Amino acid sequence: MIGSIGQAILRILLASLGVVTVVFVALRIAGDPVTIALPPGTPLDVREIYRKAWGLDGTLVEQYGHFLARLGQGDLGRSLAFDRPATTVISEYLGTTLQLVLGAVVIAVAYAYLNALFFWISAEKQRYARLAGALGSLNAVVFSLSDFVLAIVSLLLFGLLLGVSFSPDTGRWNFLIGSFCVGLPFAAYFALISRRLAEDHLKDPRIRFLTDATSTTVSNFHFLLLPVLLKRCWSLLLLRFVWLAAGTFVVESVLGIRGMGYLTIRSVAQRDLNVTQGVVLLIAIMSVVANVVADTIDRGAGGQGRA
Amino acid sequence: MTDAAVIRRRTIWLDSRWIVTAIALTLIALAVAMALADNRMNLSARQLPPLTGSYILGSDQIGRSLLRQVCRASLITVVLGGSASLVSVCVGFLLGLGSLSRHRLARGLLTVVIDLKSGLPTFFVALLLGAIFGQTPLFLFAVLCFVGIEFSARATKDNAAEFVGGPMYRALVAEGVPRLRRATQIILFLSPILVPLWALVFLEAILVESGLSFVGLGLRPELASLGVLIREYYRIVLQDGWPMILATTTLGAFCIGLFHIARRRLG
Repeated sequence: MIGSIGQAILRILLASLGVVTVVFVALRIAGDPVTIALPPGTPLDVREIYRKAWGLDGTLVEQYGHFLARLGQGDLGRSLAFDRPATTVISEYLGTTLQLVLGAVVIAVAYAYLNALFFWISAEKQRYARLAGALGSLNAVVFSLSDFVLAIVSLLLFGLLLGVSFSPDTGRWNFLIGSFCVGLPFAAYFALISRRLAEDHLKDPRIRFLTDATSTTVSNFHFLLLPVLLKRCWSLLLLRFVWLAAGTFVVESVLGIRGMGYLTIRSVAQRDLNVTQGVVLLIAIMSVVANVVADTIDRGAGGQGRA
Repeated sequence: MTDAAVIRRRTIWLDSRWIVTAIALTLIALAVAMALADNRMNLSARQLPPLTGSYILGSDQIGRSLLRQVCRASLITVVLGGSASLVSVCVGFLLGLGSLSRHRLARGLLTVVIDLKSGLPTFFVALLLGAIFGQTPLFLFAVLCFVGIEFSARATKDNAAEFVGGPMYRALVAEGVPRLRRATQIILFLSPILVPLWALVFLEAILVESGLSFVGLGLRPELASLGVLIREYYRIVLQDGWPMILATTTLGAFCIGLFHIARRRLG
């Protein structure tokens, strides 16, 4: 146990260091950050002042050392566009994205739960077979469409047909509709898994014995399938939470939500190196941690692990 | 049902399948011809409704045929997404096979590579590569190649591990079959998952390309893919919603089609 935890921590540290290095090198290969960030025609002495202030005056190895040292203290430097610490700027926008994703996860779990319950009951009762088939197909369609297409369809449906405003300043439905767009593909995926689990579970002779004796009821679902479903899906939930947080760019752009995706696109456009770097690092390290933790728990539960 | 009826039914089904294939191929050929045809702007034919003269699906805000625009954008999206996903699946497949290696160092290295990949979600890879290459088709191709590597590697590894742990492979080892022949057997065992894997990665690539182009990190308007087209029509959606509905429906149809291929093959 201690060995596997130690191995997981080592993997997190190695992968995080790898990600930090990749991000550092990639953003430097793009060109001199000072030249990119400052307007053309900025005098040389002014550039040098900025170069020193941003810690870009040494060799690449020295810069990397400074960068790691500052990162260790949680300092990402100052945002060039906002003229405030990059960590403060990111934390302001992070809240909106986390709320959006949390809403999406709640929607996904509720939808998947109802789906699993329905599939559990329909597996026994033939009269619901067609409805279950139609629901399965609907889930497949929603899953394949992704949040991007769903956001545009929502925009067309609510914006054009119902006249709902999606303005970032005055729109009131952006957030709720955004949560649905981000959450529904995941919910559909979750529902597809739960359906497969319900079918497999019912084929188990031990379960068949129990269900034959008592029939497939809601209380049976909670007793027999829900623990299995939760055990199988929690690591998926953990991984998806981070992936959803990383993938809200498009939904935020389409529906005018000012979250981290909006901030990233803006910081790329304005060449705000420190904020771009900070957002990439935050999501990357969150992903690495979620991936390794989920993998370690899966291995502990007797699975093969994902990596 | 009698045997004769079953055979007759099967024959009709086979015939109808050929007819459907022929129709589909003809439609694809027509769509490619449409995509390659000249489609200049014509300011006197702006925002025409569908079925107006030669504008079967109407025209956009600068008088271009919407049908030709959508066909051209689809062609660009399919070529870019299809080729990148092919590269991605091949690399992922090799990585997945490599992760079965007996060498601990090779296995450890692959784990680190997969951890790194999982730590860099696609949009962030796009940001990084965009910073290096700029917004060129090469940049987008590199991003899309990155999309399905991890997924393909994991799917390959899981399926190959199932085969290697099974009785057939153990029998091959017991018989002293050379390593190369055993590797060929693993590849043959894995071949049925390649098409659905490619379909899923292709689907993901199309969505990533469209999303990136939509937020302005993908292709430029000169090389209008479906994402660029949606971005362009998004700006005029309040004046004219039809072009955006058309472009979004096309993208949705591709997604559903590819997912259907993967789902049917995987069961």
